Amino acid sequence: MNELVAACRREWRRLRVPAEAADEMAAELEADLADAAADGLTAADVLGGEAADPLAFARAWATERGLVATRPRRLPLALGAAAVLAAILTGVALLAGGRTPHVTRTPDVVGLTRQAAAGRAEAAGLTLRVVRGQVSSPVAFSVTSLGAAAVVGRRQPGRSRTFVVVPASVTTLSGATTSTTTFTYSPGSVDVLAQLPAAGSRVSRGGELQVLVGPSLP
Amino acid sequence: MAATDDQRRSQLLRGVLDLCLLAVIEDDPAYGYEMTRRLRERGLATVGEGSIYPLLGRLERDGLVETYREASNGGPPRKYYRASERGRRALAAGLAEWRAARAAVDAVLGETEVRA
Repeated sequence: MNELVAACRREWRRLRVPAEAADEMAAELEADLADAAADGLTAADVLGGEAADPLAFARAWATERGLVATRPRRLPLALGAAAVLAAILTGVALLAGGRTPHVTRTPDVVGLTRQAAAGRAEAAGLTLRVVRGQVSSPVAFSVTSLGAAAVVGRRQPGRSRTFVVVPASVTTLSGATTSTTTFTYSPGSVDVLAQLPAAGSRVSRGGELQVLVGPSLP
Repeated sequence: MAATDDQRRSQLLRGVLDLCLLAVIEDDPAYGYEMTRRLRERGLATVGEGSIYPLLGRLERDGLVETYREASNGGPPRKYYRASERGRRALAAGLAEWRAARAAVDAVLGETEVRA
């Protein structure tokens, strides 16, 4: 096989171009170069400057044909969300005690949650937004739920990534759409908010952190 | 700094090479090297920095050319390209643009006399 064609094949294999398409392009190129050689021409006469860089040539050809798969952009975010989720599961369980309507009787709990979250978010370079009662734009969210809680990530056009800490009571009882329950934060126990900087490190600075605090807050 | 002759030629070609490819297969389908041969016969000996293959790939992806395989001269089947209906319309539109641009450039450069 022509060395140039062999180099193209290796590049197409590396780019995971479907074998059938790679075979077709290789056969086409090899036959054309053979014709050119019969006419007394070199590969450079046929391919121009690209003959000197067969890998770039192979890449350009496959890309223009639409054969090079684009990387799934949401995957890293999903993985990041899963990692953060694993780190905060224990703490978030404290937030999942949801069925007790404690909010009106212990408003300081909410204040503490918001205040603590704000501090942690600021340290992580995030803007905190407290969401009351329901996940906004639920259709836009991909929910990862491991029973106790969920960290939800999404990418917004023109904005940074958003992480949402959602108590299990919301995700399990309302399907991450509308919550009919509340949850509490228990000071003195495992500090789930201490995990927020980890979340922050996985989103770009200047991003937004949403903390869902329950539907019946004043 | 002014572009070298090769750079200028390459830049000029880059904008119209798709039209040239569509033009050489408008009436008579051809495989890749045959298109190169037809371009050479009409004075476009090289395509500068780039070959025709990536461009053919784009034309194929955009539906401006259709392909089929056919045996040629007893050899293995070759991949032939022919202009699709959409490609013919694109060629007609591109030709009009090219002629308008050429006329405008000629209006500027045509009367110019350079004393070297």
